Amino acid sequence: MSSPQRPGTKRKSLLRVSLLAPASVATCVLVLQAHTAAQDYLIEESTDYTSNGCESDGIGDVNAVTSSLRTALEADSWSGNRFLNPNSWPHDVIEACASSYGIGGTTPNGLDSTFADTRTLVVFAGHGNQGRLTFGFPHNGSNCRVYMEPNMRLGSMAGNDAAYGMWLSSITLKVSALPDGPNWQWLRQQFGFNNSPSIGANEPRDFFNATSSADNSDAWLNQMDGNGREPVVLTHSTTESACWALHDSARLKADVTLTPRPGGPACEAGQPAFYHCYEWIDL
Amino acid sequence: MTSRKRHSEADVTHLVRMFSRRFALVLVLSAGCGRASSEADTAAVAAGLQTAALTKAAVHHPALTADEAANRGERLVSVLLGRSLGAEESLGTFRSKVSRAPSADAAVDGLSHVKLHYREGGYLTVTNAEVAHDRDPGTSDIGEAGARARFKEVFASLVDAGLVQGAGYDPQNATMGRVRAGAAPLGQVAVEFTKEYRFYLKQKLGSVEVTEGEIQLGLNRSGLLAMIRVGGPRATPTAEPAQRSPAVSIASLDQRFAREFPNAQLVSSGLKYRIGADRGQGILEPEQAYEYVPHVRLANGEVEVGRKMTVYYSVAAPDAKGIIDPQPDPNATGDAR
Repeated sequence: MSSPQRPGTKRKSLLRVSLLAPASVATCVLVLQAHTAAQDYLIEESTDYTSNGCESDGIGDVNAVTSSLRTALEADSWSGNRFLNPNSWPHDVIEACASSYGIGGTTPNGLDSTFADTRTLVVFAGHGNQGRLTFGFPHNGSNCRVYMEPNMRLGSMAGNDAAYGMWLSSITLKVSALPDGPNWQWLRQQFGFNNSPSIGANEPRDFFNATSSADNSDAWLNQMDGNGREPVVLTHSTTESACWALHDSARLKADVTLTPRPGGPACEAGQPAFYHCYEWIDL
Repeated sequence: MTSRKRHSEADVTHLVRMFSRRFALVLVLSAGCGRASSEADTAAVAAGLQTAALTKAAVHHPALTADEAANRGERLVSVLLGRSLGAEESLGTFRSKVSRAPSADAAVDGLSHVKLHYREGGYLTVTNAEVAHDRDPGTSDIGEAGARARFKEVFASLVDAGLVQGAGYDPQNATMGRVRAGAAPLGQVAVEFTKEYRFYLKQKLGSVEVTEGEIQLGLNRSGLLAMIRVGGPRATPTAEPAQRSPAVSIASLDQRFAREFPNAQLVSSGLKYRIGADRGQGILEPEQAYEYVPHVRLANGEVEVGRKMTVYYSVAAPDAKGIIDPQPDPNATGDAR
């Protein structure tokens, strides 16, 4: 397969070139880059879970929920990719800096430095479990399950641009297990569920649109409330007060705090100190 | 836990008292004008078809004009705040947005912390960010009983404002959840506390639940309103009895579900009127619904958990195929690579 063209790649190359330019020029380019580079996304979605060579075959297919989200993102000048089913590779979200993060097969390293960890917003839709994303197809003989603790390091290491994660899958943000998986991601915020949600086709879009006026946490908890769901918003920062301040202010569509979280760990290193804060609906 | 917004207990008590007085005034004025009181309205809405036989239902998808959406939005904001909008406050921005698109998100002009969201299907959500962000654990907690009492007061005011329409909304049937908050440093587990009480009230015609049009309400532990959601399609009972086949029993459907979905963990089952966003106006038959979560146990003992689904079986046609909602879309495609 040929290497895909990412809409964000060219602009980020511009940033690196600009560092060699005179200071005044570089400043202009940096200002431009600070806005445009912050508006990119990667959507990975699995809806086909039948006889594709995964261990979880038989769990059943599921509805598509990110098409209108993608339309809304593009309408708001975001750019990126929406990969589905056989084109949605587990490797896209797996840490690329070392093979120790891999999930088997003939492609030992992850590809997050080319895909997920080069985008501001990373979305996965499909099945899962606590701290886990389950893809519908393997890639080059790999497993289909990606565990957040051993496999994913979004926002840090190789590729460290991801700032937000939206997990449209069951139990991925199980509250009692946040330190075991989700907290290994060096993201500003993660959105997910403590239980198994039914998700309407346009609900992720409606959440995104609500963040034009509401902060992400209120928008997620209110949009994904109801129908027996337990939505979770998880935020990370350096101190507890900074964590709640970010929790109450970050807004995706309004471009509030879309920059990556700074200060993440190096490849195969432990995490620097941080706080996590969260809210969820307990039914 | 650190709070960015602190109210003293005296402030909160004052606000709650002020809020209660305003609603008391509304109730008195309503009675004085010869209108049914809120309590009577609430009782009428609740009565619905509680004692009626199983019937068909007519579904109504509200198609609100921009003015209607804005007018409903203004009434909803008034219920949230416990007062009418002031001279410097308006829904001008919201009205402008809702006139251009089928959904709209905007803060109330002059009240930047009050956000209004309108969605296709006539859903309106209003939030008070100042209240929603108040997670000071020192704020006195009204407790579950206090929250339930406040919910009933607010529900009555929603009825009074014409924001709850259709039979079968009985506040006694409301279920309750909690918004919990927690924070901790690396390596530690957070100690959670209740920030907010959430109430959910579905429309129910007799014993049959309606799948859309759920009312939601969030009450901060202080007793102040954090959010309200109303609207959406609703069902109205008809006089026509529902079709039933003597060949179909609930027990036989239970067996059918177990046979057709061997990997399912059952969440709930019961008769429902199924309203889909794409179903338009029409007459609904009650169907037997099974909410389930697909589970698969893997070779290593771990469990794969699917997103929740519901299958609906006809109680009139034993050979009719079950309808799965949301409908799976295994052939969905995206970008090439």
